[in-house]
Amino acid sequence: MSILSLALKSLKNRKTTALLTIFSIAVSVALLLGVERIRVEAKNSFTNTVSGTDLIVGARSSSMNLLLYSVFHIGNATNNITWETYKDLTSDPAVKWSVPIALGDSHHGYRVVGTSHGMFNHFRYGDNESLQLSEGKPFEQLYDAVLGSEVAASLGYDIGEKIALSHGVESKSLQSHDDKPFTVTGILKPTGTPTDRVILISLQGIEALHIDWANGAPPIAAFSVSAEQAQAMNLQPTSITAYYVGLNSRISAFRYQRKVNEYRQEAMTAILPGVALQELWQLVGTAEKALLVVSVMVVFAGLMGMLTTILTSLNERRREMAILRSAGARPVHIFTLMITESVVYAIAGTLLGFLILYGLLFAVQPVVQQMLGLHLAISSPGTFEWSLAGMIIVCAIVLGMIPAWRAYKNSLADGLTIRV
Amino acid sequence: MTAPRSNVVELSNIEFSWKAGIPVLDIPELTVSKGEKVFVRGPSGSGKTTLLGLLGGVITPERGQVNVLGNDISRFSPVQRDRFRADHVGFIFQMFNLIPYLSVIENVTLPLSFAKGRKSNLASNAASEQDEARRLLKHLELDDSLLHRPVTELSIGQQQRVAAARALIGKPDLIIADEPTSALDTDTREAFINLLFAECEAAGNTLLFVSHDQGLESLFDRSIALNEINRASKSKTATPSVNKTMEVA
Repeated sequence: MSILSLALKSLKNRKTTALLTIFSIAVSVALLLGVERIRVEAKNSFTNTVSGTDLIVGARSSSMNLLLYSVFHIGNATNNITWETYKDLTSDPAVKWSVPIALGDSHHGYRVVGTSHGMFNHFRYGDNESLQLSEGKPFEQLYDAVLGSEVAASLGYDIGEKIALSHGVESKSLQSHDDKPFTVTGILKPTGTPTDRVILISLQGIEALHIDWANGAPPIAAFSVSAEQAQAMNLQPTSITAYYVGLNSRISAFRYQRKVNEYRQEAMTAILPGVALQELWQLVGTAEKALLVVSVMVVFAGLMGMLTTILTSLNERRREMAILRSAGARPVHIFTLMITESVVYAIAGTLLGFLILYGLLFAVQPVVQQMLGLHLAISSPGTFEWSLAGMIIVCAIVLGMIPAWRAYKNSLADGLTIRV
Repeated sequence: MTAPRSNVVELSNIEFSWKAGIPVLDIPELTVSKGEKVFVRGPSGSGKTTLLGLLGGVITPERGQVNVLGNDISRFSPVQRDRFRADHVGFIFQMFNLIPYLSVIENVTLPLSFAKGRKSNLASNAASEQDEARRLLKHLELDDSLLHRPVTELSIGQQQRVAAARALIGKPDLIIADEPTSALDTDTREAFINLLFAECEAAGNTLLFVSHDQGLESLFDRSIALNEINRASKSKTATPSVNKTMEVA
């Protein structure tokens, strides 16, 4: 009989504690693997908040500020871009497409983004995915609005709902555009990006809202323009906040960026969103590292539990060891037996941990995709997973040396006499 | 036997103490020849455990020689002694000396996984481990229906016979039995010893049987009173009647 089958039979004899130990290791392994998986996916999802867009152009500011207001809708633009500048810069032959955005209004704290149909046609996020509607259709009419999934869910809006937008981005705005209500015509599918929290309307809609405003002040009654009147007017936008650019060739990105940065008529900044997103992740990514550290600690706790179990069992197994010795086992066999036990715990625990993880992934993936728009890829274990499994087993061997060494010393001291 | 018998055990002038200055064992001479069935009688405190430790090579004496099968095992390295014991000595203990999580047959074949010598003894007889275990168990009157049962389901008497089979498998030269019958009642006791004798005779094993139960003494070829040959024994004055009452208690 080999030491391995002896160890397995001995463990089988202590089924309950053995299974509990394996389970506690498995849970900790599943947690660590799960955290890592979510970490990677969250990072991917974050850095792919904007994908397929080569440059984002706005008024001159820091690249982080431009990224924050144009993509995450946090903070405000330093200035607007005039429509002429936009037209001029996007007429460059390198430009394949551009999507303008106009910010500044809100609805119950959710930002309103005035944009063109290009938002549906050209804008990409994640793994080259375009915005999809779960219900309804994109805005067609002047007073049509498309809601991000979170907006619709948290405010309980459906297609056909009339909503009044507010001027400014404060959640409690004093100045309402309630004279020109918008109708919800579409609701977007969850994307897991800031787009879930915006209301998309046409640039002309933004223009109509402000047509009777002068110098940022609401109209006085005599000059107010009704919703119907506005419809008949020329709603050519005069300015936008920023625009997304897709180029014919990525190679021209730096040239175009320089052209924008050196533009004479207006002070402008162009950023490469991928690079800026990476920089931002460096800032917000500390939390994920903390999470990883915590789950490493949990694995350590699991292994400590194993060590405790084995050490506790040592005393009641002194008789077993003495019998083995009398049957010819050398102290080195006893040592090997104990180490084997730790390794069995570690391998079984790690395997079960992988099973739990994949089981959970299969169960949770559709829900997470639906609720958070986070796509958890179910792929076979990669380098990280394998090296983790290897590390756990190495740790188990190292920790297993402690009880093994004690059993070894015990068996030397006890010899063949059976002490209970 | 007419041929001069070679000695399986030869102790000469051995001294051993667990604590310096307080000798536990001081035996000028002890010999056991091949094929002999020797009864070693000794009350507790007479140094039985220490003597078995020396013969098993678990401990080494401070002075003197422990010759087993012509090898002075006190000069061996610990690993050599372990190997030597595994190959040449089979042990039977008082009780509960089976591995609870192994079946009857796995307990019997256990020494073969550690002792190459005993394994090759089997191979030279062209017997498989399982067959030999079955044969021994049958001789010890344990029938086949018990073979794959957990040993915990067996009676004490049956367990001791399994332990005997384990000590005998692979024909080790020396069988050391340490109070193997103390947990058995009088009837099973003699039956057990007779079965053990029959097997030892058939295989030519030498048997060293340690007990404080004088009732068994007459069954053996020879009897050695440990407290008489051990000069360090503290219980020299212990009388047999005291031993009896101790056992009953």
